[in-house]
Amino acid sequence: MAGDASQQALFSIGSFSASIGFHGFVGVSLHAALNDPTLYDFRNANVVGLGVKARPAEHVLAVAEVELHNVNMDDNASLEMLGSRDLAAPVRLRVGEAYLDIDDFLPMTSAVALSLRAGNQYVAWGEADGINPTNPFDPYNLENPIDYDAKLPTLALKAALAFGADVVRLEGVLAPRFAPSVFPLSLLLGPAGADSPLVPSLDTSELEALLGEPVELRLALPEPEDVSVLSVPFDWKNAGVGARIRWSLFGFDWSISYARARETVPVAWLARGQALLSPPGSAGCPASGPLCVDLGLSEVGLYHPRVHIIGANLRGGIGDLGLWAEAALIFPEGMATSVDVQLGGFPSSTTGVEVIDDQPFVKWVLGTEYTFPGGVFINAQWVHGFITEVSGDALHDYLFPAIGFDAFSEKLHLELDLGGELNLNGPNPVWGGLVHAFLTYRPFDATALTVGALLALGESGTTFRLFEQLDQVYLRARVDF
Amino acid sequence: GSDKRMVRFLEPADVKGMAFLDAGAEGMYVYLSAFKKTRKLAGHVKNKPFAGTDFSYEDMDPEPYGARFSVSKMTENKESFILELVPKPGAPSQYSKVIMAVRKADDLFSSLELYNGSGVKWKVLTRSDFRPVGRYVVPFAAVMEDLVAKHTTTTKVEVIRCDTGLADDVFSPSKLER
Repeated sequence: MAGDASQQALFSIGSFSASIGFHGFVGVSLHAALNDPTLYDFRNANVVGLGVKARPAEHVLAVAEVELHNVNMDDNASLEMLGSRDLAAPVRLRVGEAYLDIDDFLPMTSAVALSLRAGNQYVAWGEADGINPTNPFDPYNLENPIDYDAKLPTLALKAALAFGADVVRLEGVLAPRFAPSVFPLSLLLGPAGADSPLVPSLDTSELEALLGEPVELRLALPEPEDVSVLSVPFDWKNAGVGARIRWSLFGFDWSISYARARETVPVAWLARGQALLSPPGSAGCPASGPLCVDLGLSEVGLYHPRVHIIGANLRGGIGDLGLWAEAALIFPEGMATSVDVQLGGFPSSTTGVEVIDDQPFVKWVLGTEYTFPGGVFINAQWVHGFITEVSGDALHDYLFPAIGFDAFSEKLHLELDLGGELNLNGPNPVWGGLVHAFLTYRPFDATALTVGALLALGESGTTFRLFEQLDQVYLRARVDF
Repeated sequence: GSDKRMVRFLEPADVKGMAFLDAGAEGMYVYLSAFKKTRKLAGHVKNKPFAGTDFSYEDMDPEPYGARFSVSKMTENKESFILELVPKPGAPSQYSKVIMAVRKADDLFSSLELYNGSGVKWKVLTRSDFRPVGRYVVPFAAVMEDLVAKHTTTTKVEVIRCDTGLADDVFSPSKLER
């Protein structure tokens, strides 16, 4: 019973005794894709997590966690795999959190406390659920995109100065090594062509000027092996730094932050391809339409732009209604993007397009939640600018409402998450939608079984168009110990 | 004291590390170990059960009942005063009425009958095994029975230490994650 343990913890704070505790979990994920079976091969995995939490002194905490991933299916079947279990069912070792935390290590006065945390950790900035545009430090872990709010710990040094009982709190962060977000390239370079956020937006006006008539551009994406990414060297110029001040006022927690870092999600800066012209009425080109240009990209280069972010957050409630807001004013580093197009029968043409300009833009999240008597809860977030949208002219709007219900003393949890997307950047608005429903059953303490389904649908020009590849049913099981 | 309350979960393993702080007028906070974040909670959580138990977040409020309820009626028997409490104006509660039995011996309440917004008896909290601890008397056992859900939560105190000189800043949001 939780009440027993909590009482022990409450009354044991005063007289410290050194302690060490071990914890872990075993998890199984089985995903069955409905549209693209290959996309989910590597996400079906058995995972064993192990961790230790040691408290050698009252104000010292050491945490270390590792995960062993045993991938139980792989799409790269080969002759070698038949003779090697290591190749057929590879095991990967991953380091999770691993940090040292010293609290009150410079006791100046009883009203001011300084604490320090060093190591692989979550910086955990941002009050919004899952999508935190003010936090450039914690990379997203989109390895399995249905866990869109999953993040990775990052190597960082975090210092906090607290005045009073957290009346005002100052924080400073130094992340010396850049850590990118993890995402499935095959998803973002899927069949949705021009909807991919990893392809530069192409300005057809220069092609039209060259050809002397209007054109319709049809894009074929490169293979994942033809996509490269600029490395971010480990030096101080690429270190992430940030500062934040938090305080409470009028029933809300407020914070203002500044960060200089690199976007953890890359954008394209280079594209090379071959264009084939099809006159109207030939090769699938409508007879009454413009000249068709089929552009096959043979090479795409990605990089993580440097950004300055001024952030603001609030979280609290009006009446019983929970409210939060997170806004990021982002100043991106400008970088000229080169799009080289070879036109058959024409001299070589190079088009320069400024994909990431240096114009500042704002990403924000507004959220609200409420629990009705009886336990039904609703939660909704309006997101202006998704994780993969990192320039001012690429931001879409999303509404993510959710409704959930717990029954039988939280043994059963049923939740329906919806998503709506609106892209107003083109000549016509385009829409997308998403439905994610899941049921979690906890038959015993620390044991959870989840079944769920995800369906996405989007018009061309939406992120949810890409997510159509994610349509799936899944089963997950997890036991913590 | 009775101003602030912190609860830290040591088990079961799936909620280990989670912590809850009711900081009185400064609000309620929860540390979600799965998300590595401390969150300020809004008032609607009073409609939720506390960590799957039959206690609600309102039941965990350290503020004395006298600050939130006023006495509308009082009777007595040999051992206890029986108080009928109703929420004070401006102090919203999930309970429309509370019947409290207060022990004459030490002024501690031994039971609560909690009525929902429709006036139906919803839950009954019974405290027992009162023992002296230093200069205090503490109930070492409590049972909350949800009469509607037909479910019971039992709490037992195994170890208790009082007057250990805890600093005020122990009860601050940033301490939840430690």
